[in-house]
Amino acid sequence: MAVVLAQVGTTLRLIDPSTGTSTILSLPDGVTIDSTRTPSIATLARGAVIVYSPTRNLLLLADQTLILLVPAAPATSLTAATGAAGVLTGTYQYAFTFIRKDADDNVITESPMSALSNTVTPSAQQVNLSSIDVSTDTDTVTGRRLYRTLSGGSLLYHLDDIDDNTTTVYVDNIPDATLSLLPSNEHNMVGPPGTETTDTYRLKRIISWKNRIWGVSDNPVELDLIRYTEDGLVYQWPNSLTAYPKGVELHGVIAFAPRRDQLGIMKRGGLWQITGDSDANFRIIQISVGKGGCVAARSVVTINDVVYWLGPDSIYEWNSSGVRSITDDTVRPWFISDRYFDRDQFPSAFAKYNPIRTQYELHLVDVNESTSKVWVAYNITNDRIYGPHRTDVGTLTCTTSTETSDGIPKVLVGSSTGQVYTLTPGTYHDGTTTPIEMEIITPYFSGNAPDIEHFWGELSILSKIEDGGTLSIYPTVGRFDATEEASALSHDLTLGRERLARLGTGAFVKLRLYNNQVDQPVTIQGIEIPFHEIGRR
Amino acid sequence: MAGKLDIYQLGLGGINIVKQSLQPADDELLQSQNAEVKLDTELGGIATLSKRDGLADLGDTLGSSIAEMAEVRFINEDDLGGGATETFRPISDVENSGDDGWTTAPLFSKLDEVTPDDLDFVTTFAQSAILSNFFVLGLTTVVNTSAATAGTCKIRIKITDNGGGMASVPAGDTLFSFSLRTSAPLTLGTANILRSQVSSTFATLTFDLASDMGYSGSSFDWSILETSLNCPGSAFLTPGIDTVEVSWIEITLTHS
Repeated sequence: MAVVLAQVGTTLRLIDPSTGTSTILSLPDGVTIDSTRTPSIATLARGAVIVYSPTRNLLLLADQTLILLVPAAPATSLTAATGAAGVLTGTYQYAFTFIRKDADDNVITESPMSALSNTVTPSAQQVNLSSIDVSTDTDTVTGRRLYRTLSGGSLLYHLDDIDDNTTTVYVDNIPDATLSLLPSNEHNMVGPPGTETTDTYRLKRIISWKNRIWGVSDNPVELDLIRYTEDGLVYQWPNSLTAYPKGVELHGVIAFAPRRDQLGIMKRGGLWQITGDSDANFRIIQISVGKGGCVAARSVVTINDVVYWLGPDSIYEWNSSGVRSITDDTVRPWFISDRYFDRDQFPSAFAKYNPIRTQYELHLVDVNESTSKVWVAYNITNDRIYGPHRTDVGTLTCTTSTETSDGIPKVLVGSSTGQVYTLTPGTYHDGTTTPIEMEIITPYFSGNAPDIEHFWGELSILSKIEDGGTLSIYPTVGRFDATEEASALSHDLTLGRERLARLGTGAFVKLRLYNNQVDQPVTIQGIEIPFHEIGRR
Repeated sequence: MAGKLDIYQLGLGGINIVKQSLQPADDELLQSQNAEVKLDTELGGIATLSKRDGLADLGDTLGSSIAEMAEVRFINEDDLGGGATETFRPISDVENSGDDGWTTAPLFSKLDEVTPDDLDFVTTFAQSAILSNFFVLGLTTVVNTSAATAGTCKIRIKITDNGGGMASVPAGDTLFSFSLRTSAPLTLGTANILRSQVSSTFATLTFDLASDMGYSGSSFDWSILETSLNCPGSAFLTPGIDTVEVSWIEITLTHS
């Protein structure tokens, strides 16, 4: 079942995409949300990982419980001493971890290992363990897992679990033969940045790929280091890869871009990819240098194994054919000039997939505004760009695509006021009553004779028949220095076809079509303009 | 020279502000604020330029700025494997045989309730030891085909003593056998239902797949499951007199 996890102020909430009702999630003790940071969220089968804005990394379980992704490691080792007569003979050492289990006794998370205990040498005796530390992460930890060496060995094996967080003693009388078959993967029990309360740095961006969580931290000396978990285990982070060259770019890794068989690693200066399916063969190479970099982590959207994102100068697409700009040939000035968008705010851009219209939609900040109210859309079906669209309902802050419990696609957009909006086909207002200001500007039409003066006759508009409403049409007739007609022609949208006034004399004609009526659909099916060539002047 | 501009695909070419002013095609635009191409015949035809869809309020305001939203999918525990359980109910009649057979077909529809309904049951005659009545029912489709590590099989059953010898059957004698099996058919486990476990009123009998039915955790084809009830009866019974009624069956399996 799909739900929407949202950071609202200093809270984390689950939002029902069908109704908008939300539930505030209880944070583990001692964890707070920094509302000035945007969280990064990734999902594996057993829960969702939330990092960067929480003071410690979090894991949302399917029962809607928030726990720490990895509990802090035990601060002290336990003490081992010989006890009553028993089955143990030889030299032993012990260690333990903090764990949480689910109702089926599966371990959901496990802390890094404690330090080794003292060495104990029983001779046909039991071993008494004491000072088994309890965890201070009481909202997460439900028990301790004990590990022990074999007699005279150094590898640790799972000994037993203490299924509470209060008991501090244990009597070991378990022979070597009944310990776990394989030794513990002690070296895998590594928490990522943001695990300990004392961690200065946190995971900044994470992604789910190949049944692992991949992440990069905000540690300035590790900005090119990609960490990743063990297969299916969100709490074990022993692995890493480096996107060379190190330290060359100020921001290092900015975003991840998951595809079916590749994980894209995006810096401002290019694109790297990780391939492989196991620790044995994961490898990273750079596939785009100079072009194809990314400036906005939240602009990255994967649609049907194709990735779209905002680069410094373009919207890019990465598919099986490689990386290409999808805007250079049509709207390049949007991204390389300061006439349209506030480019300083490109890093805050965010994007969504609109499955209803099959569009990649990138939210930006208009050059004359300070917050995001506009977006541009790339129609994947016809490979064309539209917009910039805008809303006057307020400042938009984030977006996601999801579905209802019935499987119906939903596109949600969040705002600075806390209102969630849902893209609603057949509805022609934003919020409750805010009109949608439609403004279409055609190119200059010349009748394929730009050097010739024309008489532009009566304009015919063909449109879908509506119950009411009007479409205003502002013609501009003349050459490129001509000014727009002050008064509009008005097309009655109930007619379906209407012949309007003569447009006048000039080399070109350009039209601006405008409608700002609440709940007014407008569909334009065609334009006809008869003309006569008057001659050259 | 006269001519006419006929533009029926306005906007299909998208925005183009790169070309110099004389180059854009007639279907291109310089701006399409809040207008997009919709591939929807209901909206007037394929690829018509229309006002965009609205962003309607969803619920009440949450009170503070929303910094981020992300879809989170929690996979059904049944899809996960680990510690997951699946519940199966009858969905089809596979076999209905024996000297008398069971009535009334279809049998599964009388046994498939979530909550047992004793007014809705199937019946047959308790037989002598040499005769039997037998049914096999298909169960709900398996989601998790990994081997089950544990499970329970429940059946709600009663007998009616019409003077056919039921009162003479020793308490420890087996009256029926209740099995879980695949379609091979391979029996995964069988529970013997004793005379002492069955009375004249409906009661739910619960059998542990391992300890009561002998399931050893072997690897079977879990893609299809069936349950069967054999009514072989007892040497003390006279065929065709005493009756057996079953009102409900439910199987629960737990995966590793």
